Amino acid sequence: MTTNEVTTPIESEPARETNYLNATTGIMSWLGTLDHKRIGVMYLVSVLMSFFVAGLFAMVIRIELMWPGETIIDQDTYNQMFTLHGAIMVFLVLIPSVPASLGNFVLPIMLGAKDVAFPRLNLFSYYLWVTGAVMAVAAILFGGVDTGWTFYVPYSTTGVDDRGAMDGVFFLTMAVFVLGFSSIFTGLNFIVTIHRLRPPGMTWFKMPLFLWAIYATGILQVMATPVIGITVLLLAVERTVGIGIFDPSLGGDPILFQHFFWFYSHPAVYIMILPPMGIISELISVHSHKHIFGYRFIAFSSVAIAIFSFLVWGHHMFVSSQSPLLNVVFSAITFSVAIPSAVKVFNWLATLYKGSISLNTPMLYALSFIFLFTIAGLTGLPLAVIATDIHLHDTYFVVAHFHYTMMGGALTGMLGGIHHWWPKITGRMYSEVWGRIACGLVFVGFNVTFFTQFVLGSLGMPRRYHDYSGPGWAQETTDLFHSLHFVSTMGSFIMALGFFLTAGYLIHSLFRGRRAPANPWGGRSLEWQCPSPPPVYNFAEPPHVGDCYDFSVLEWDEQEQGYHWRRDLAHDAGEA
Amino acid sequence: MTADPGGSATKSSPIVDPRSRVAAGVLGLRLFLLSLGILFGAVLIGYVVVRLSPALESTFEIPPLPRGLWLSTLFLLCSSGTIHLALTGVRRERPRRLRVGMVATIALGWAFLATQTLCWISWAGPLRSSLAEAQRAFLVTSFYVLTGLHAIHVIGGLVPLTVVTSRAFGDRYTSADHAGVRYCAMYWHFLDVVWLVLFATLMVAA
Ligand code: HEM
Ligand SMILES: [Cu+2]
Repeated sequence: MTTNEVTTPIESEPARETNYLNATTGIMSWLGTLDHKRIGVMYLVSVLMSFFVAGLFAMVIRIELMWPGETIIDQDTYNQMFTLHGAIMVFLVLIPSVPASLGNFVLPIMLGAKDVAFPRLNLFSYYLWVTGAVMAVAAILFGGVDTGWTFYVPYSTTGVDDRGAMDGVFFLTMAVFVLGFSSIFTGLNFIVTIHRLRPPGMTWFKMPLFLWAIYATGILQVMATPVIGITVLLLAVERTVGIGIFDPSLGGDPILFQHFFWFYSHPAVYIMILPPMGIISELISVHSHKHIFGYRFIAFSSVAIAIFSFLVWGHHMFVSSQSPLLNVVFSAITFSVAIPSAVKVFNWLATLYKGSISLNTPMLYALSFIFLFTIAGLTGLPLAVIATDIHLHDTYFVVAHFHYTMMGGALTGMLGGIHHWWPKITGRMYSEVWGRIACGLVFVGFNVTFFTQFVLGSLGMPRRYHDYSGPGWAQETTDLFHSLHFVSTMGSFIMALGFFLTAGYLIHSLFRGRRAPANPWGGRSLEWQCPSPPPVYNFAEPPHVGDCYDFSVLEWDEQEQGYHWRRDLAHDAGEA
Repeated sequence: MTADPGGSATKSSPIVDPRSRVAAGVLGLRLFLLSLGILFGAVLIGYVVVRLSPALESTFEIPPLPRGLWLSTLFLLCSSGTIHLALTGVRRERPRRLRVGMVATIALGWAFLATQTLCWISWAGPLRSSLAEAQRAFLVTSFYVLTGLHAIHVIGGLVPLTVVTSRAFGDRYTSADHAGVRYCAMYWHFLDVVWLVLFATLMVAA
């Protein structure tokens, strides 16, 4: 791990106290570690590497679509590209992203604890993730997968090689199975940690909102993931033995597969978005130096989202021949899910109102999250209306909608979190100027890429097509789609530039960045009370629990370039 | 190396107080069993949905369920009793009862697996002929999938059961400290309940 190199003092700075990064050295001290901070860092590195790979696939897709006709790849390769892009982004990146990386790092510290409740299980979860990643690579080597990330039957039961083959689909479904258990164990671990390791004085309603989000996510992970687990397992068995549970040619029921798949995958979109929402609650409050508005509303809305999200999966199946009555019911419940999401947005805006907002990188990401997620939620509504969905289903409108939620929402929130906790994790400050520029590039690039796709979709461009010309396509349609696709791809280049820039200055900061103070932003939750980077056991003495959004007890220290407890207050004055 | 301020926490658990460590373990195991329960629930719902589909309605004859399943059920029910015996044994500081209970549970677990295997073999004929007829395959293979899935969990349970038993013979458990026995018992009762629901579903469907 390159992070070890932080231990060698560069320039002539004095060697630092021991912390979790330099307490032990050598590759084995990382691979076998039980320290939640190191496991969090390993997850972060692994998840970002997967993000890079899946991002490359995305660029291949975008370049193919820049011009009508076959541009760089044929249709079979194209099918494999979007399948791998989607499957890796969902199962290897977004599902574990925030909880397993940032959550692992900050959750125990926010609780003033030494570690999560089950450190061994935590490491085991990580290796399950690694196993899943290896199997995903095996899927690519064994012929690839072209079913789409949704594995719909019968695409997935009648593959390129026929049944009985240990081919790409088999390996990728088994990878999803293994990754599912990694996710279950992480969720279980965090729920137990929050139940059993809260410090005296920290009641449920004094927890940072990030922890409420992680808790609600944990419920979804434990209760929804087993369904996808058994579904992909049955699919793999069906492929190899021919049991006939989903495949219509064997007497199975393909709609059943869709029900099972979405019974998990709708809650799964909230597994992806709830933790970033929790991050945003922290960022908005800390960087506007103002008490969070509507604490209880935000906390309960996380739980409400978790519960509601089990009841709406059918909105993915309006055109699947499920009964019209079911359609109406699912449509109605879907609208009610939008309410708790909107409650959060209103409370964030109310927090910003009259706050003293620092427009630094994490805050810029938070604002960008609110903007993009609002568009995402609003465009979910026409998809939830049966009449409009019949037109929009399986078009680029859906693609744009879920990229606004998953990339504009989940990934933007994660980037905000990475920047917010970077000083804590690495002990270094990144370049604020480059941070803002990169955030701007990603924001602009993202909107150019995906807003265009709303237009494409409503004009009727179907998703998962590698070409939009030839017989059956009017010339004007091809020309129109060509210009829109071209703009969209240009946007994705801008976005890619933003990401490379981000990687550049973050890595640079590891070697040349200014040493981070314990509390650079003026945060009040417990992780800002321990040094940056934290020592192995996080706290030498129990930290002071109080209202974690009461910033009046902190003051800026010019010399330290960070915040600390107001000198005129006794340390326990802030405890409510 | 930074000093560990709460030195008594073991390396693998940050929780110092042994009783709350067990409470955490129990909560964790309950959540895991909830998750597994949903997994089994989903597969049973899937089975019932396909079984009720008109395409399968009375067109095909399937052989009656092997009688041996009743014997398996009996073994598994008894093993739930014996593990309970073991648990009350350790709670009341009766090491002999603990050991007998554990050994009996393992024996009954293996007996269960043995009868299941015989049942599977007895259906091998229909299995072979059904694989030729696509529509019929579901009725036969689903029996193997459902019972097989359960059997895998039984095998998975025998591993910790064996470890705990050997520790019981090493006198490692007391009435105050017997988390291992308790976790095993929780898991084993869970397997019992899953089997009863699964068996009942198969009976009704047949
Ligand atoms: C206000 C809340 C939301 C509403 C009302 C909503 C509604 C919908 C509907 C009705 C569809 C189905 C469209 C179709 O296939 O025709 C859909 C698709 C989708 N949504 Fe949302 N959504 C919401 C929030 C989210 C969030 C927060 C995420 C993820 C973080 C998300 C991710 C997705 C994905 C991935 C798909 C498409 C999956 C696929 O077919 O490949 N949605 N949404
Ligand atoms: Cu959905």
